[in-house]
Amino acid sequence: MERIADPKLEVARLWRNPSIRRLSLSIAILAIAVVIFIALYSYFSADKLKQDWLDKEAAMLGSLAQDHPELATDWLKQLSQADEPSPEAIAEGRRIMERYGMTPSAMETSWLPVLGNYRFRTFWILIGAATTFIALLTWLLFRVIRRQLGEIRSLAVAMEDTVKHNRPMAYRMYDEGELGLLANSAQELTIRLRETIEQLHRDKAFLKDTVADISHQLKTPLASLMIYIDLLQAGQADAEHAAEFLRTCKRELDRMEWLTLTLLKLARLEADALQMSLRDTNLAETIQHAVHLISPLAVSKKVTLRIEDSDRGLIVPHDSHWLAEALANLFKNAVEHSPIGGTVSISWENTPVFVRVQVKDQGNGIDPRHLPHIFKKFYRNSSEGSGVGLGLPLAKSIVEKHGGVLSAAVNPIGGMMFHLSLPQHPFPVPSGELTEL
Amino acid sequence: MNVISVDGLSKSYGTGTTQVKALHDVSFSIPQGQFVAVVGASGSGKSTLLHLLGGLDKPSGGYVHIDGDNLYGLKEKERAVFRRRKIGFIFQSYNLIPVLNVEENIQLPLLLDHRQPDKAYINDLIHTLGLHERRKHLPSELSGGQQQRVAIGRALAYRPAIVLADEPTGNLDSANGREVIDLLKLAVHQYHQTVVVITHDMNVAAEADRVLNLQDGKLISDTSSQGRLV
Repeated sequence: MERIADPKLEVARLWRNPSIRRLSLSIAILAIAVVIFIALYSYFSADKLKQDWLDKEAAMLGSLAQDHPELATDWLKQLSQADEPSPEAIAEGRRIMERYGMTPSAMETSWLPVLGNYRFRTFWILIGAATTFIALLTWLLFRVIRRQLGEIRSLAVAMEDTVKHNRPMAYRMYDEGELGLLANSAQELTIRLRETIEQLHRDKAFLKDTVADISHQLKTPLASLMIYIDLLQAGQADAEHAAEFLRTCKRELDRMEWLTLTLLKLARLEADALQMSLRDTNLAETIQHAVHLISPLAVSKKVTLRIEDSDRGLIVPHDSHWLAEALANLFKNAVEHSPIGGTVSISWENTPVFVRVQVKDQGNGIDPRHLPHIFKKFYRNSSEGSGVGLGLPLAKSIVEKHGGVLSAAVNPIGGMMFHLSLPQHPFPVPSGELTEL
Repeated sequence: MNVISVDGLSKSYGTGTTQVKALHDVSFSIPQGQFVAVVGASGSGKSTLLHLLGGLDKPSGGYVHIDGDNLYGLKEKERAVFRRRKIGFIFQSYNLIPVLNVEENIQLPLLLDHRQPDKAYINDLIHTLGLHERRKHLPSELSGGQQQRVAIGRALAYRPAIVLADEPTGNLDSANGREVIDLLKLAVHQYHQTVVVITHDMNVAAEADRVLNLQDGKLISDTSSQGRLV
């Protein structure tokens, strides 16, 4: 590849551009054509002048020979005559002139040096004017092209630098016209490239975090399982204690199973390894299904899950399996944070852009300072709730996979409000997404 | 990578004893993909800050770098092109072109650049914004909420790196206001865009990843330390 480190454009470099070569060739051809034209023109124009002059003289002499008396008047008349002299007069005159050695060739050298001068002058003046004009035009053209090539070159240098060192483009151009658009596209491309690389780094970090999360979360239950199994193996526990230990082991194993499953789900969602199959489905059914999943927990906590008066026939494009999972996690969170005998109310509305599901509880709410964090993995701000802080992140991931938004707010009259907004038509995903993994 | 970085930004109007300092030595930076709310009482310099971020005004001192470019190091003409390609604006009063229909208004930034709009993308965008039945309507035939959605479409047509919104919900009822905020949040998530919203609506501010609080032209608080990591 050609080295393009030096952004200065010397002549040799300029010459490498086909457009410059083509332009030079065109100008050279034009110059030659002009010279030829001028040479021909000055030759023929002088010749014509000579011919005209000779014809005139010949006609005059012819007339003189015919009519002696009115010499003066004829002379004047001939000089002022506008139309072509008569051929007979010219022929007569020529004959007389030849007698006196006044032939075209003789005239040129000896009789009429002025004619030669005329030709010479015409030729060189025209050549001079044409040369100046062509040179000026060439200079202007080359200046414009050189400037544009310089800009393209700077762009190329900047792009090479960006590609090699993965840093933002150093040369920016904000201009109207084609070059400006090219610069803009080049910049967009480098930004995309950078984003893709950053995305790769994020994915790597994400994988690392996930592995760390899983092993960290499994360490504690594994340790206690080991202890219980050791105790059971040693045979030191009596039957009653052994049964108790086994129950604990079972509980810990259930918890581990749930943990690994949830973490894996989350990991697959976040790593885009899972696609939602969005189908036009009845939203009320999905919500009912989620309520059903949580009702045992609600019953044990004496919390009522109430579906408010909403449009039960509403059809929204969503993946009913996954959305039910997201909703169930929201309901579970709400139930866990509700006081005994409280109510969790669920409602939804249809707007031109979104379908918005609202989940309200009657708990204590949270300090608004915690709001930006509640969707982070393993974030817990209260001792309430049994979870480890995976339910809300999972719900958020699922909603985002639907092209929607999940947000939380503190209800001014107490408790928390969660809003789940699903777009009626998900946002267009840019075609040819580079960061798709 | 910070998409916006503001350094020692000041703006004052008038001279001598009548001088008013609208903005005084404000510095902060915003990484890509953040949804930032700027709050403060009226006269605290919010709008001045937004205008300076968008290259609509000239600072008395300090710098604004957008995507690595010194905004006020550009020539006036270049800045106009820069604005068109890199920044989407949303105003309280919508600022749509009254003689252009919905579709044309949305495509305006592209048409100004003599670019061929990506028909499929624009079409999808119009669908998402719930405007497909009104695509041939003039702004005067639309409700406030619809007009603001057109303005959002226009701000997203070029898929700019940053979107600046000056009281986007100021003229809307709470339902329409929520919709606008949800759409902006979606843009942040879907296109990894950076959105800066000026608002005095605390509900809007509560939705943001980060809140900048201005008072008398000074930045008095910034929740970035506890903001969401993107």
